[in-house]
Amino acid sequence: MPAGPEHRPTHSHLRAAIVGGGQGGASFIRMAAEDKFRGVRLRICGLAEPDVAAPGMRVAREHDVPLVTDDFRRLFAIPDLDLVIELTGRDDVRDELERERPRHVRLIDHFAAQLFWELSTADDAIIRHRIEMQQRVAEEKDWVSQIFDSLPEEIVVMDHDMVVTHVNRAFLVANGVTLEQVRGRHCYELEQRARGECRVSVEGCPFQGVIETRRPQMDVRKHLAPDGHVRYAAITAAPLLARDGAPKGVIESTQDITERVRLEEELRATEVRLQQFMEMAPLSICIKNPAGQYLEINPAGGLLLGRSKHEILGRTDREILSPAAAEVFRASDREVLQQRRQVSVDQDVELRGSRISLATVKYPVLDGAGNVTAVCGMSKDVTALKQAELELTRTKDYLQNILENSPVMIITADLEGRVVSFNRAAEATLGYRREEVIGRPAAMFYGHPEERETLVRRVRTEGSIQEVDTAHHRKDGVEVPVSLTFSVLKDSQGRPIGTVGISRDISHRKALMNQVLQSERLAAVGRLAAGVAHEVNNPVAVISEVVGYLQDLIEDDPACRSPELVEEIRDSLPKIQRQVVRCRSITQRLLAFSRKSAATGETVAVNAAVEEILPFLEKEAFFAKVTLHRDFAPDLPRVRMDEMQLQEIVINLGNNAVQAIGKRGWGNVWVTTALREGRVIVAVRDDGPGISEQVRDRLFDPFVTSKPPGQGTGLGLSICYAIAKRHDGEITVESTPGAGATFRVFLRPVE
Amino acid sequence: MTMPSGKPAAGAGPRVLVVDDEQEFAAALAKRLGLRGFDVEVAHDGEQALARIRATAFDAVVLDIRMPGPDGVATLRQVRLERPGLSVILLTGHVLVSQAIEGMRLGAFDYLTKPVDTDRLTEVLRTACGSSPTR
Repeated sequence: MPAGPEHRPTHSHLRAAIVGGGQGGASFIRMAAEDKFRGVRLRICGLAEPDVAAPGMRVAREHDVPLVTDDFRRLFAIPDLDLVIELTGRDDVRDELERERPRHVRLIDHFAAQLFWELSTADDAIIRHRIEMQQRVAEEKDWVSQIFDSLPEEIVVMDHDMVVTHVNRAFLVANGVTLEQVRGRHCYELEQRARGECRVSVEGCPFQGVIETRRPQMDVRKHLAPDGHVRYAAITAAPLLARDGAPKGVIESTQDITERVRLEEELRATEVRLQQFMEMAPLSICIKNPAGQYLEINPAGGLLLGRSKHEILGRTDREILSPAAAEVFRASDREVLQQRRQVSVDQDVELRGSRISLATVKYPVLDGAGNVTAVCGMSKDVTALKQAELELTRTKDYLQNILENSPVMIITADLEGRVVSFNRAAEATLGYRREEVIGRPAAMFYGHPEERETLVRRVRTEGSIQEVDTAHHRKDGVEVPVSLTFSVLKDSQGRPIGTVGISRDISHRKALMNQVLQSERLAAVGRLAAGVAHEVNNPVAVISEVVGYLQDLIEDDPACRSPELVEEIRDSLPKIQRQVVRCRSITQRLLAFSRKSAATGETVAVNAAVEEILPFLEKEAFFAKVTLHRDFAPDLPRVRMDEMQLQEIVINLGNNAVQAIGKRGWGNVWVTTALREGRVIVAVRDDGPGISEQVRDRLFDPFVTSKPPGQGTGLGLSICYAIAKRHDGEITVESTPGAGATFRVFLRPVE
Repeated sequence: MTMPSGKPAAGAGPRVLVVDDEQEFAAALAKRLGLRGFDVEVAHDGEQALARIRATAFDAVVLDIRMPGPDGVATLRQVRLERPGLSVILLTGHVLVSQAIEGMRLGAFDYLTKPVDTDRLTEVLRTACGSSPTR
């Protein structure tokens, strides 16, 4: 290890020797000893002075300067000597020292030493002031730096050449970098997320303008962020000026203003929409100042007033409208001005020569102090609407009138089944007054409450029920037969809101139907009577002739003495008797037909009853050249039925059979009785033309007939059917067209 | 009532055929007409009647319209074909105007309804027999 570095711990001190021990040398020694040279620490290691009484000599002794000599050359021997300070003030000494000094020893001559002195020994006050200044600057710098770092804007400080000298913390945080990573780089090399990629072109860079004009510049940049969203940044560049005003850099601040821009855009869009709304609105919209002058009016408003926009703006209603119309508008304006709140009014005004109905809303526009600065008005022309309303009311009245005066009963009910309306016909037919039934359950008009429920259920699944025969109960308890059409009432959206029942009183129809049935019975009796009259006529004619003959004989022998006469009389009386019996049986049967049928609970011996009626058929068959066959099962049980009615059925079926084949001029009819599967069967079969399928299906319906018009009403079979049904019996028909027909009456025997 | 005096001998009076399916009626009417001087025969249906008419020269026929087999009108039609001059008096059970008109159109002499007024029938028969050419 070399020796030098061992002394180096005192390297911070410069080892110096002084040549010249005058006042200057003395001061130097003192200053160095007290370490009062600013920035430099000197150790005085030697002093050369020829004059032992020189002030420097005493000071050197006081401060233990190691070497004091009268020969400056000896000073060069001081180890590690850094410099020699020449304080003699003599140039020859300086030159000599310069020549004599070793290379590692620097020389400070008296001139430089003077300067050094001056610099190093400045006034303490000045030094203190300087220190304070330095501290304040440091504090201020710290404070500015704090502010600088606290600013939300990202701030970049650059020098002339766009080289970054500083950025604030916001910048570092926002971009995830350290100061070292950005300092010294060009501003356009920075990746600043808020502003996106920098445009280095001269025109795009605010920096250029700032340097040229020395004025701050602002710019807004728009870019697409990596997340795909458009972002906006506001960049402000301000010049950094030196004391003399020369630009020495730029301070650039960047702020993300995306949110603000978005809000502004929205506001702008809203304004556009508002404008569009004003333009397109079917409402008339206007704004007037408190003096009543129009400030704004939309096209619809112009149309309403019949004036162009420029004719209206700045004028009052009184200037552009009739006094009456102006007064209507002014009145509502006044109300708004006085009340300082929204006012809704219906206005009828004369505009453009016609009467117009307006629905108007006016409201005040208030300033911060609550004063009305303007009146805004919106009006809708409701003239057509009002007319339609009027029309609707008329139509409604008209329909109401129709419903009310309809001859059919119209009863509506809500979803709970309570009566809502009850028309006059319903009042008249059912005997209730409207006030008595409204709100009460509609089920009260039916025999059983469940009946209406059944109808409601059916109507829900089937939509509506048309013309069902049922009955309504009148207030006095009497049943009225009705034909009912029942459906669900719906509102304009199709939601059910209740039911409507339209009922027609069909008492008359029912009565008429009964009359027709009765007439048919009478007609049947009439037809029978015509046939029977012929039958009766024959025995009557016989009786008449036999009696006439006896009268003839008695006239010749009033005392009846002649035995021949007596013999004739004896002979004739049984004949008369027989004919009378014949007559009676005929008239009895006729009577049976004319009697109204009613189930009497009687029982009847089927064979005997059929046997009794057959002579009628035999006569018919005889004339129609039809052979009548009979085949009765023996020992048939009695059946529960009125004898006459059973006979009526058989005669009807038999007559039909005979008539069906009568035209042909020949044929056979079989009347048979049998017991099969617990039923007594009376069958009438013919070998006539048979019955077509078409007719067969409706055979037992009333009014079905194969006979020409005028020869039958077609009720015969339906009456047979009704009679059989009434006795828990049945009638069937079996037929093959061309091969005759068989009617079978099934009857329940008495147990 | 004008009664003939005494019983006329059989075959002496006008010859009349009574046709009726009601046998007792025909028999009684025949007897009464016999008492009034007519020579009466009886038939019970159209076929029989036509056979008798073909066999015997009757002065008149009393014919019931309603009969089984060929009825009165059909029989009348046949009689008019075979014996156009023979007077036929129709008897109807009750007034069937359509049948009566049909009969008169076919040339019946007259028609009467049952029960028969014997005096009226006698009168009509006398006229008929008087008008009909006798053999």
